[in-house]
Amino acid sequence: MRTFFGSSIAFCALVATSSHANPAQICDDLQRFICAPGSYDDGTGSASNPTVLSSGQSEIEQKIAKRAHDEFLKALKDPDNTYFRKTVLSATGLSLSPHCAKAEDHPSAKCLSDMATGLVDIFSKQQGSNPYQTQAYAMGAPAVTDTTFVTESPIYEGAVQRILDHTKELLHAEDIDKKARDKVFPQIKTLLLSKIKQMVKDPTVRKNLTDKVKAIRYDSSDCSGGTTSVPGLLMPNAFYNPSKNTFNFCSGMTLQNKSEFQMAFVMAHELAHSIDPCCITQGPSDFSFQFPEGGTRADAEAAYPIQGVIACLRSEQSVKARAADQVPQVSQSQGNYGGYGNYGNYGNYGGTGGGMVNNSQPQAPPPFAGFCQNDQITESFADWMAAEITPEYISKNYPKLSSEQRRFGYSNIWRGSCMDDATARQIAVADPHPAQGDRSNRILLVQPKIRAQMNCPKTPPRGTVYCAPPGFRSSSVPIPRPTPEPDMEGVVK
Amino acid sequence: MRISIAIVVTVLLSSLTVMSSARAQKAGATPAAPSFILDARSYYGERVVRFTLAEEGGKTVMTMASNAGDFSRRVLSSKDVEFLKAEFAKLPVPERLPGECARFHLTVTLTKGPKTAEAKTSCLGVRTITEPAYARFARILVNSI
Repeated sequence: MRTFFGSSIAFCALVATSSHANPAQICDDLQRFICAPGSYDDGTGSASNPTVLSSGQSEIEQKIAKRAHDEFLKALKDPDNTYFRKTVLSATGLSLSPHCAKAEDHPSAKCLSDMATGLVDIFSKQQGSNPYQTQAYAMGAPAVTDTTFVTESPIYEGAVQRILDHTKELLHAEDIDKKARDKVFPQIKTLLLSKIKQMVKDPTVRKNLTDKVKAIRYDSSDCSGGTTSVPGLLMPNAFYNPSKNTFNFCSGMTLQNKSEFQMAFVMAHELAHSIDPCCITQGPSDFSFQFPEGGTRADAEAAYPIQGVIACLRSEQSVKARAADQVPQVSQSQGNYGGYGNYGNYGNYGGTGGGMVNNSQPQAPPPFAGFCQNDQITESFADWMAAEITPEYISKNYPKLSSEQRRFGYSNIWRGSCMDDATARQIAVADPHPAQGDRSNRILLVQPKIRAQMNCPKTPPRGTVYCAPPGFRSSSVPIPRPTPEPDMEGVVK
Repeated sequence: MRISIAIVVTVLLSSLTVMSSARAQKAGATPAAPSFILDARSYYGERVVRFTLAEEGGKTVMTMASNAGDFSRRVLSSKDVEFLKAEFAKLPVPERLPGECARFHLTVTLTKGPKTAEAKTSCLGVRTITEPAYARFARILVNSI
């Protein structure tokens, strides 16, 4: 009986495993695993989904919050800061609390601590540290004007500067810079140069792109924006700066993600921006690539030096990279005027920065003005190139990783990049990136070397296509079909 | 090739008007146009944050979403709404937007009624004459959530 029972349980467990938990499904849907709860060590570092942390904050963020509390408390205690205390009392609603009666002149210890806590909340929002996970002030919120009195106070700004200085130490910015500058960046740059050599046929264009990429310098992990502090020191971010030909890997990227898969991919993505369909035209005018004057979008796409990739990335089987005048989708709720749903009103680079509009007079569509405005192709291209480069970086630097670690690693690139429908609808019309699910499943997951490293079947998921680089196959027509076989090392011939 | 942003926005809003009219006629009803909508889009490298301020059910609601997955909504008082409108009115308009600001800018569009909108764009985090005013406006937007 016991044996029979045991056998039955074993059988049921086997059935349950095969019908409900099938790790091989990751080969069809990487995005679902990206959104799964938990922390995953891929052998190069680990990454966590921030939504599963009970506090909503990493350990380092808690340390920063404590330091911020101490700094604000110090400022609030200063007997000369009566007016500042008044602004904080109003901006936090504490002026209504009995324990803060006359706190502008004679604050109690508890009231001071509560005021400091309110300032930490304001600071966190401004710095982009998980600021919007809660709606603490959604009801009975302080007046915007009152909060603005606080954030524009020199006393607040002084405290913020001291907090930021300390934050840089806590983030171990020097360690991030060292790894980024000395290890990852040089290799990623070399790999991008090799891709240019392979993919760009025209020798003059190839030389100009090569010279430009060779000159890119790593700036730093400090993305606090100097005096502007716009981006936020704690916000996960990275960027290529076309005017300086530099790039930044921001320290906020490492708060909950230490994976080198992420660092390599993000660096490759940012460096790829230097030659994306927008930035390829930027640089010294006599040596920069220029699209045909007065041509159509199709003319320009055909002229792009890496042949075929733009058309493929725009296809339904790939990431459907949208351009301003290509998709008639309309969503007027929430005021979706302009963007990737219905396009049109950001940036007119080289033109003026504003204007009055009378929309009662329909006009003809504007002529093609380049890929820098309202076009997802730039981010799509950067993702695509990063997916070409990252598996080569990983195979060179971490040749002994298991396929399970690689599965963790490729999902760690965007670990926790998930959003609900309301957020997706709100941001979709403004975001130059393709939908996150498409980035994961139609760029990363279709790349043959990545599939080989993840021990996935060679054929990409149904309905998707790998946008092969020039020379990879004879045609770049974006229709799904088998891709060439990787060899034993995952290198596609 | 340079194109005026006004033309771009005009075309956009014109097409929206035409399409929304067609949709309303098809449905047999004309939806009430909100008296105004403020739509601010912040671009800084990989980060995109969108703020919209619009009337919903008799209230004025600020909604924020970012491509990092952040989302929040808050009802603003009429005093705050007027404050934001006044701050928008103060924003200077740069004579020229440098190409390097394609991924570093703040665009704010204030639509008044169904026919007119005013759009203002400046670099964000890239030093220009108008950038500090837009950086300040971005901070105010964060304060409004």
